[in-house]
Amino acid sequence: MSDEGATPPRKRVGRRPTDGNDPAAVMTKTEEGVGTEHGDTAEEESFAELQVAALFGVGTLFLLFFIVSYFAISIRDSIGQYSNYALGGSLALALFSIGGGFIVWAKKLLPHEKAIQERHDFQSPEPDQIESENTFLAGIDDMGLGKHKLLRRTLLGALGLFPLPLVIMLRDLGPLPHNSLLVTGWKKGTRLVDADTKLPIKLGDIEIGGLATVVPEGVEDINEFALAPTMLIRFGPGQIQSKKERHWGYADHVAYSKICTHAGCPISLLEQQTHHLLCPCHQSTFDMIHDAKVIFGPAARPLPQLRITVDDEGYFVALGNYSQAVGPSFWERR
Amino acid sequence: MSSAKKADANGGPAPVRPENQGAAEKATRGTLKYVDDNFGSANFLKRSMDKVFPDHWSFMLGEIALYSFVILLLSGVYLTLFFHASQQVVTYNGSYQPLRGVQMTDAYASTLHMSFDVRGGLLMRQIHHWAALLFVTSIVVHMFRVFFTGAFRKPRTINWHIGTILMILGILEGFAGYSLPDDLLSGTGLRIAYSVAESIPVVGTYVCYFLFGGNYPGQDIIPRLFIIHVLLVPGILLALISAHMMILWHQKHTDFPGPGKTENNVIGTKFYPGFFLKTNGFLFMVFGMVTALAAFAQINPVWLYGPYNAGQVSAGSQPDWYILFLEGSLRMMPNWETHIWHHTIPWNILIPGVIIPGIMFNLLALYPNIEAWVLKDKGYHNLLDRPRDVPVRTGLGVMSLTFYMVLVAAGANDILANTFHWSLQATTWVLRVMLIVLPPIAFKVTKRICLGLQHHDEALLHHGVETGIIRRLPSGAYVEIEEPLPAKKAETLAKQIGYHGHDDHHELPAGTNGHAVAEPDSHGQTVTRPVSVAAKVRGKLEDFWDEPRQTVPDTQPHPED
Repeated sequence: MSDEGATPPRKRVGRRPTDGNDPAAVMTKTEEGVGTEHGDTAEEESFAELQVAALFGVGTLFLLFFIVSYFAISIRDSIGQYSNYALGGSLALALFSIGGGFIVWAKKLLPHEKAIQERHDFQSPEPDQIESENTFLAGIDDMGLGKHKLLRRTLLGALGLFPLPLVIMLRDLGPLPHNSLLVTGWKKGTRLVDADTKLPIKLGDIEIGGLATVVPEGVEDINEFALAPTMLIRFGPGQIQSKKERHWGYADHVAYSKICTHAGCPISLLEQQTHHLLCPCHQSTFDMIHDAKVIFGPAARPLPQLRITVDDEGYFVALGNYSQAVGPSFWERR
Repeated sequence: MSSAKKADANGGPAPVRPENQGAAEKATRGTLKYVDDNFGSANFLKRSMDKVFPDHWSFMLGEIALYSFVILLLSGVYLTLFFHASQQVVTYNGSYQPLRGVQMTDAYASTLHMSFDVRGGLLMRQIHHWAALLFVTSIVVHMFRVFFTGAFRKPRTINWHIGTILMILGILEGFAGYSLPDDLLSGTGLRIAYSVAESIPVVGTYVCYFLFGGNYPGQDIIPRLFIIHVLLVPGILLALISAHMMILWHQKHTDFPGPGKTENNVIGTKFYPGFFLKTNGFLFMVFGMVTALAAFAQINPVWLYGPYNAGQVSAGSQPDWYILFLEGSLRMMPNWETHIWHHTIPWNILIPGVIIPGIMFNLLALYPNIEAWVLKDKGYHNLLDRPRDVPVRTGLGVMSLTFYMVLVAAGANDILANTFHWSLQATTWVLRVMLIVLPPIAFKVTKRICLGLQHHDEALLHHGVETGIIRRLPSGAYVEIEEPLPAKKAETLAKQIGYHGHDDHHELPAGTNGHAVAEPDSHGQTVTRPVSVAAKVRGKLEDFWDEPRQTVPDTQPHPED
């Protein structure tokens, strides 16, 4: 970099790098061991240097631009978009310039050397292998692992139990499941409240074909009762085809668990014409006028139905908890 | 400096330090001497600087993975300075208007804070996410290169195992990372992961309760994923990457066959200064590419998804691409479930979520061992195969890839159906059929293409290039004039083809391919030794593997005849 101000050459004469796949070039070099290609004029070299220097210089400029825009461009404008463009753009260009500088430097200023190197054997000579094996086995012999049976067994016992305390200490990572996978927050007389507004739902609030996501009254953070979300659907008169479904509902209103029996996604898409309910995650489809039976997709079980009625004030209430576990299947599930 | 260098290279008289040293040279020599005085490192340093790396574009794929890991470490440390790994519920009051006053976890709120109230924070987040995608992608593409060229063969099989573990850890690390912001999309992913763990017979619910600290979602998963994501997995990744590189360094790089190249040499660029400069430039280029993407291509805009809520999900929830195959296998699975003795086995999740990825990753990791076993290949391999020269391996690779790609497509079956206005059910059924039917077809077609290419190579070598000039012979026949290949090309091609003439397993005595061997015993009577089932299976597999090379019959009349 010493002669930065050297006069630029008149014509563009960057040196073409040797083709690495040129077999003839490789062959001659193989005979020599190491081959170097010369033939750069001083003019070519100083032009190449100028190219590299220009790239590093441009890189520096973009880094400065980054620093300026960090302070000058507000993150409040257009939710930080301009700041992101300016910072990212200048940093990217700086990195490209510096990287380009390195590559042009390597390609144009370095001697083009095709080096050849011998590979060594991967394995040791056999006598060395045998000697190493002997040393190892002699050590075992010296320690008496072969003849001191009692020592060997107690050692295995002690080392075998050694990890146990560490494993046992993982016990308190969480409670045991017991029956908690059945807990949903629904009890007899619990009002169905809208999941967003937390307001109780009255007979007539939902239009025919409508669907409301409801949770048990009193649940503040729904994530604490992740199995609670339930859909309250109103069908037209006579649409529900299942006697049991009608019976568990109230005046063409039925309540079903919103948690998919496949992988636990909250189901949301009800097709009003077909009364099919589609899970957006894996496309399990349930027929909501036939006990929510599965008609397509990977879910194996119908969605559990929640028995509901209407209390004295006309609000929907549960008649108890779900009669079976909601959500995905698990080993202990009956 | 140059005079000292020459004395070294010629191996003449013992080198002496020059008398008149400039300040820079003096300082450099002083430093190197100081290091060697303490560590005796001169020899190691010299050997390392002289180490030769072969040149081929495909050898740079692993470098991309390494450099994206470096970017991940740098950007990740910055993100930890602002991220709160907590599921404490807070009310957001930062500068992103649409979510002000909304209740959310601290994890999500701090992600919004670093995106909208920290200058360059969004850029760092996007750099981190793009680099993570590039990390997994480059590992996978690097593995294609290693697989299809047979670079995994002895003595590099253990390094292939390490590489497979690196890929799996990379996927896990990516999943843990994008789950941390606790937005609606990532929460849905966690919910599905929980269900997959829950499906494991006997221990499933316990695994879930210990991992999540109770029923889903609990209060513990984000802090626990955080420490797994920033300490545990990166620590293992760092250790394994170091091992991967040290083994590569020690065993030297593989190379394609070509003039002058043998099993016992490496031809290429010395590490210092040529390779060193180029690879540094490449590091900056990779960093630049990731930064450019982060600047202009939005990724994971968590503020649009909203905070996680167990009662909500958005349609079109697709994970990052490397999880898509799992999502696809969950979507394709028929709804099988078994109820026995008051217990449930949810095959509809267990098979696609646990068993299929388990089989896929195990087969991937153990493929080199299986191939070596089938071919009884105990030899060392430093020269690479061209995919066409090993049609069965290439076919099996493309077959597996086809299976994988159908799963990936299935992970977006709703998007496909929506975009092309197909019926969702029909799309799913077509993909289910494709998953079973396409892989064997891919195998057949690939093998056929490989054999065709072999045939083409042989024809080029023995008959030359078609010129398009037709000549009429005195006998009245017409022939096309073929020009021999240029000498250099012919030599390269001959090397590439010739390399496959002497595979080790071909040198075994005939008739040992798992068939009973009749041979005379000590009394001179012929006995038939029984052959184990494993040997029979191996023999059958070898018959399947051992595709004879294509040769070209010399039938065309030559004009000079």
